[in-house]
Amino acid sequence: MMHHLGKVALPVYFWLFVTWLFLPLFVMAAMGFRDSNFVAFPIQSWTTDWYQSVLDDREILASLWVSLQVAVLSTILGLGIGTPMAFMVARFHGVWRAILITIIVMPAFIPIVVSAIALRMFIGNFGIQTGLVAIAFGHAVSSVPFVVVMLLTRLNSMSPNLADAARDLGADEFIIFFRVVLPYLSPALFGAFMFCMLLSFEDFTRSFFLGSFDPTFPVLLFARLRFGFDPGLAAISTLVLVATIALGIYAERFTRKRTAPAKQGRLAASGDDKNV
Amino acid sequence: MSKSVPAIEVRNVAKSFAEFRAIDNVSLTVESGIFITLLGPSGCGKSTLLRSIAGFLTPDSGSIMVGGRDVTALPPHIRPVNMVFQDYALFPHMSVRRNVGFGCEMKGMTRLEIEARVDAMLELIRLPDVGSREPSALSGGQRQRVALARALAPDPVSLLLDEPLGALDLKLRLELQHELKSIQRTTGKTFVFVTHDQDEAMSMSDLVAVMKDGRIEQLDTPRAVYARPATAFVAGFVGAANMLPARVSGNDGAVLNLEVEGQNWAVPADCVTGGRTVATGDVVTLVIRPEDVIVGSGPGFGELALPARAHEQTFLGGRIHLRCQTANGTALTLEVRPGSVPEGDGTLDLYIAREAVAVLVERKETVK
Repeated sequence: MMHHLGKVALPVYFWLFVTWLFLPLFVMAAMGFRDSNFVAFPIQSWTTDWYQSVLDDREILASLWVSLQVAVLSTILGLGIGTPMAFMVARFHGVWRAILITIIVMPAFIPIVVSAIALRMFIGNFGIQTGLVAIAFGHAVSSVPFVVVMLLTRLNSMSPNLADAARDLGADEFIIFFRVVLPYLSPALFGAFMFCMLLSFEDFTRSFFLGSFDPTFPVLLFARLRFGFDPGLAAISTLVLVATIALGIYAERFTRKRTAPAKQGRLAASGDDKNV
Repeated sequence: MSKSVPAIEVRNVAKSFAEFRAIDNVSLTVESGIFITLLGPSGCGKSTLLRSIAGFLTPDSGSIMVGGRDVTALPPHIRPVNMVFQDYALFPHMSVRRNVGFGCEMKGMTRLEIEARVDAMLELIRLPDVGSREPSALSGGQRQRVALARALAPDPVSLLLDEPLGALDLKLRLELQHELKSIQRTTGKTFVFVTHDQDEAMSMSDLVAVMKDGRIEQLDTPRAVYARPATAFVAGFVGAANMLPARVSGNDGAVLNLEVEGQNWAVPADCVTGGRTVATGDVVTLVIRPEDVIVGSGPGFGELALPARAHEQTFLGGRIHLRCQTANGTALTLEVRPGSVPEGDGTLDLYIAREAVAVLVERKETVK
C-alpha cells in the first residue's frame, strides 16, 4: 500500500509543486508577447513590441544602471567586510565561535522592514544623504552574514597542512595568503560575489526606504505597478528572470567545478599524534 | 660517513604542551644519507619531534642543527628540510608541475631550472605524464608520490615524512614502502620517517628510534631492535614477545647463568640488552620471539627445554599461532609451521636456543 502510494502519489505531488512554481512565470513570459494594452487571456495576436519598448525605455535603463551600481558597491562592501571577519572567526573554536557567528548572522534574521526603517532613521539622524551610497550600505548589512558563512565553510574544509606545506617549501605569510589561501577560497569568494550581487539587485524594501529620486529597478517596477499592469511589465520581468537564472546556473556550475579538487586531502588521521 | 657533518642533530630538546611533556630531553644525531624512523604509539612525541625539526614547533629548550647549522630560531620557510604530510597537502588549485616546482620557485630558481628539476622529479617518482593534471585527478598513491617529489625538488638536506603512508590501503602501502626506500637509495637523501607501524619501520629503515612518553627508548638497526630490545616496551612494540622472568645466578662477563622456570641455563653474556650489566641476584626478563621457540624431540646444545601444554591453535595459512602454558604457569605464544605440531591440545616439548634470548634489565633494577 505504502509502496504504491510512494510510486504514484509522491511524483504527482512533486509535479504539482513544479507547476505551481513555474506556471505563473510562464504565464508572465507569455503576456509579454501579447498584442494588447491589457494583461489577459487568451492571447489572440502576438507581438515583440513590448520587448522592444523595454529596450527603448530610458527610465528602465536608468534604473537598471542604478541597480547595477548599488549591487557592485554593496558587493565590494560585503566582501570587504565579510572576508576579514571569516578569517577572524576561523581562529576561534567552541563557544566563542558560536557566539561570534550568532552575532554576525543576526542581520539575516532581523525582519527586512525593521532593519530598513532602523537604517533610515540612523542615516537621518546623522545627516547622511539617501540615495545610491546609502542603499549600498544597507544592502551590505544583509550580505555580510552570507559572505562570512560561505567563506567560513570553505576555510573549515582547508587542511591546516596546506599552509604548513607552503611554509615548509619556503613561502612567507604573504605568499601563503596570495598563492595558497586566496586561490583555495576563490570558489567561495565567487559564490559570495554572485550571491551579494543578486541579493542587492532583487532587494526592494531597503532600496525603497533608503533611496532618493533615482529608483533602483525593483523600486521603479513598484512605481509603475500603481498605474496598472501592462504587458510591458511582464516583458521586463521576463528579461530579468532569464538573466538572473542564466547567471545563477553559471555561478552554480562554476563553483561546483572549482570546489571539486578540494575533496582531496581531508583524510582521517589514523592514530597519529599530530596535535600532541 | 662518520667524518661528514650529520644531517640532523637534536640536542637536549624538550617541548611541553600545558602540563603534557611531549618531548622529554631528547638528543638524536642523524648521519647524512640515512633512513631513520621514529617509531612509537600515539602521543609518544614522534610527530612533535619531527615538527620541531621542520620548524612548525619551537622547542622549550635545547637546540636543533640541520647540516651543521643551528636552525633552532629559524622559521620553517628558511630551514633546509622539507616535509611530506600524511594528507599529502598538495595545493588543489595548482597542476602537478606547479606543485612540484613550488619549492624551487620559492628558492628563486629560474624558469628553465625549475622545469628541468620538475621533469627530473616526475621521472624519479615514475609519473612523467601527470604533470598537467590537478591533484584531484590522481589516485591516492600517485598523490603521495607527487607530495614526495614536491618535497624533494628543492634539494633539502633532509626529508621529513610524517606518517605519509597512513592513509593508504595495505597493498598500496607495501608498494610505496618499497618505492620510498628505492628513492631514498637513488637520491642518497637523509629521510626521517615517522610511523606507528612497526612493519613499516622494520622494512625501510637503516635505523629505528623507538619512542615512548617523549623519550627515545632505543636507537638501533631494525634487526637489533627486534632481536635485542632494550626495554619490555620496545620488545612488545616491535613484535610479539614472550616474557619469562629469570634470576641471575652468575655472570663472568662471557657466560651468564640464569635460573628460569626452575632450571639453570647458561647464555652468552652479550644477550643482555641496552648496554647494561647484570650481577648475581638481579631479576631480569627474558624476551623470546614466538618464532624462536622450537617444537622438537630432544634439546640441541645449550638449548633450554620447556615442557608445556598447548591449549589453543590458530591456523593462519602459512603458519600456526600456538598458545601454551609452561609447568610454572607462564603463558607462551609460538609461531610454527603447519604440520610441525599435532592438532589439538597436548603436551609439547619446547626448546629455546640460547642465542635467541634477549635479557632485559628494567631501569628500576639498575638504579641502586
